Amino acid sequence: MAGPVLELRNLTKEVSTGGQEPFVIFNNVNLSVKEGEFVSIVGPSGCGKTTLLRVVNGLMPPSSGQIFLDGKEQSGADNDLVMGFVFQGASLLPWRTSLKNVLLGLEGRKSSKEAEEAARHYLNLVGLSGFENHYPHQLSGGMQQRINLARALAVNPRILLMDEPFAALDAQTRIFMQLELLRIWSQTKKTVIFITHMISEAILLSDRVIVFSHRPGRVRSEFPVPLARPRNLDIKSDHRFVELENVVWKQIEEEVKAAGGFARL
Amino acid sequence: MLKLISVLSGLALWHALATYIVNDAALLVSPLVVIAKAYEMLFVTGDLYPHLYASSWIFLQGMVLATVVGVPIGFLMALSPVVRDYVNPWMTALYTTPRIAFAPVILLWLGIDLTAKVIIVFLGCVFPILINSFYGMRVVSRDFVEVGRSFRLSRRSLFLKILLPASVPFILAGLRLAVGRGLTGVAIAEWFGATEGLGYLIFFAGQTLNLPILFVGVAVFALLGILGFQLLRVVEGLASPWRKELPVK
Amino acid sequence: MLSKELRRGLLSILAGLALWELLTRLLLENELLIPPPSSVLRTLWELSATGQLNKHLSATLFEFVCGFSTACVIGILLGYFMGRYKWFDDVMDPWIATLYSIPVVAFVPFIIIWFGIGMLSKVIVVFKITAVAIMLNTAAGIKNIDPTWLELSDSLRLSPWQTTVKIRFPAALPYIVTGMRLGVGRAMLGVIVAELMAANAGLGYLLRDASETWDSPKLFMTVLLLAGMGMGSFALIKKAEQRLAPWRETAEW
Repeated sequence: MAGPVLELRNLTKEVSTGGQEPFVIFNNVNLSVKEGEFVSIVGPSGCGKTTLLRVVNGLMPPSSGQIFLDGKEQSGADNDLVMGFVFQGASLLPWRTSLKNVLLGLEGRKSSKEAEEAARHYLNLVGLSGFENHYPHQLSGGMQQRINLARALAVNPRILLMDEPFAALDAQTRIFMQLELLRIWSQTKKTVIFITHMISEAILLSDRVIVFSHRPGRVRSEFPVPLARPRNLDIKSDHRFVELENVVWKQIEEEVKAAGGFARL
Repeated sequence: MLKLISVLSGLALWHALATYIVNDAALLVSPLVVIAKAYEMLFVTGDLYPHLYASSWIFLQGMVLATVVGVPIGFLMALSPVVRDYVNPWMTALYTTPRIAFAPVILLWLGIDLTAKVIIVFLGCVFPILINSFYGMRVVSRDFVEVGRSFRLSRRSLFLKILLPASVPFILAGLRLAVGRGLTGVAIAEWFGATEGLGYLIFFAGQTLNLPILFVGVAVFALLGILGFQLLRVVEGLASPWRKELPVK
Repeated sequence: MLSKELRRGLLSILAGLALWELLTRLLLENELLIPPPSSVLRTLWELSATGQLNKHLSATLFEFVCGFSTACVIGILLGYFMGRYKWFDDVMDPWIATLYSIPVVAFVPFIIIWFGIGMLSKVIVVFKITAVAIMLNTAAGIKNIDPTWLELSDSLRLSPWQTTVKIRFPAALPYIVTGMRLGVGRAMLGVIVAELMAANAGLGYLLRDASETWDSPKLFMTVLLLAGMGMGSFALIKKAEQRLAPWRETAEW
């Protein structure tokens, strides 16, 4: 096995607020992710998880620190779509049909025939064959997030960055989508960095759970998930699952207290 | 149903008022007289058509010019804060000044030819179009722009695939607002010096107290306004099938 | 210290004026087409010294304020009833909608025929334009009220009067203010158009007078005054919007 596919070294992001002190969003983040690994990041609200993902994807420049891909340092946004980004909310373009939304990243990179084949393949993978010509507003929230996922997968990235993709879904749909993601992940074997607020979601999906501190965010601790794959909902009653959930929750609780208490959330 | 009754009884009241109470053709005429006059001007003498053509032609030219100029300037202002800051005070001044104030100045410069009239119409409709284009491009959701950037779209693609389509509904809403203002512009332009056109017709009828023609002129104007407005509604529906309805400003 | 936007804006205006003065002085022999800003200023000075300016300005302002304030009261009242009672809305809507879609310039001749060339006809023009805009918007605001808020008011057992004052009216306020803003712009145009058509005082009259006598400094002065009035009233309405409905973002223009 070669070195890590993605490595963050001392990554820091600050924004100037006009005052003297810059506002530090996250500080000295160190993280390395292996090929094919599913890593979740959990942490208290406002700890900079989402910003971290944007910096990793090159949507924002870091203030300092380095990002390595396959051991090569990245400077600025790469152009060859090593990473695919699954956004949280309504990020489907409302003027494009499902198919056209999935095609967005493929246009101009592949011949239109190949592109369409790929798009249809991934729509099928997420279970939405037959909905090619629907506009986003005609689809349910869960379907919209499936298309969001298909769109990111369609460019065949090595790393999938997922920013709380299921946060806006109702509790039942969310569980179904988690199971779907397990299935799709087992078929595509992507490297995934998954941001979530929900500890059980992180444990159910991941090989490793990273706990972020309160702001300025940094890696507080990490836990390998000792549960075999393929997984289903039964593992939620496994004692290892429950124990891990408790440990992680304790840590997050401490972080929230350190940040000023629950009322500040 | 109640609406129909309201319209009919209103018309009856109008008729009664005109024939039995006012009884002065220089003050008020019955709707029947107006309809008869409209029929005559449309189907017997055909007097209305030259005016209609003249006004429509000015209106169309002004609208097209306003779109061609307004949309790019609006985009430019949305994309460059520097341009926006320098243009903004002039825009605000031009936009908030009652448009009719410019008419005599333009006629002073250009005389009473077609160009002057088109420019007056243009000034009437360019601002809603410009402002809506500006807004449309500025309020494009940050999320959409991030999607484009995460797929590493070129600046050109970002503009063509994300920013432009996101602004289309706003531009169309701007056009819709511009219809009414453009028509007012037509009337103003034709008032100041013209020998034909609906504005001239209204002005002339007003001066000579020819109420039937005045009513016909106003009615045609109102109909044109409603027609243009509804037409653009339809275009909006066709151009943005993903949108339900934009609020009318 | 001024903000960057304001600095650029001022710079832009000053540069424009300087350019205007310079170009008209150097290039144009003929003051008829574009008088330099300095002669526009001189005319302004002269007219205000003779009291002429005051007369026209106050005539227009008086007409505007009278029409606008009555329109606010009546427009909000009628709009409220249109929003509350379906039958009233059905009766009024076809007429109001028609009135609304007739261009300002098209109905002015009627008003002048019916109400004469004095101030009354202008007050009525302003009233009609503003009242219709406020009525339609108020009705929309009352109709579009979030039903949850009404349920809330029921659950708190508020009286009908309290519901109107504490729930319906504040909820409709942003719409009402929008109606006022639309009204200001159109009413300003309306009053000038009416004065231009037939009047013996007012800025519109001045505009016509200047253009018929080919007095360009006076014409430009009037245009600038109108621009000032327009901007002033927009600034006022924006202030009012922020005061009356601070929970809502205001439009930029």
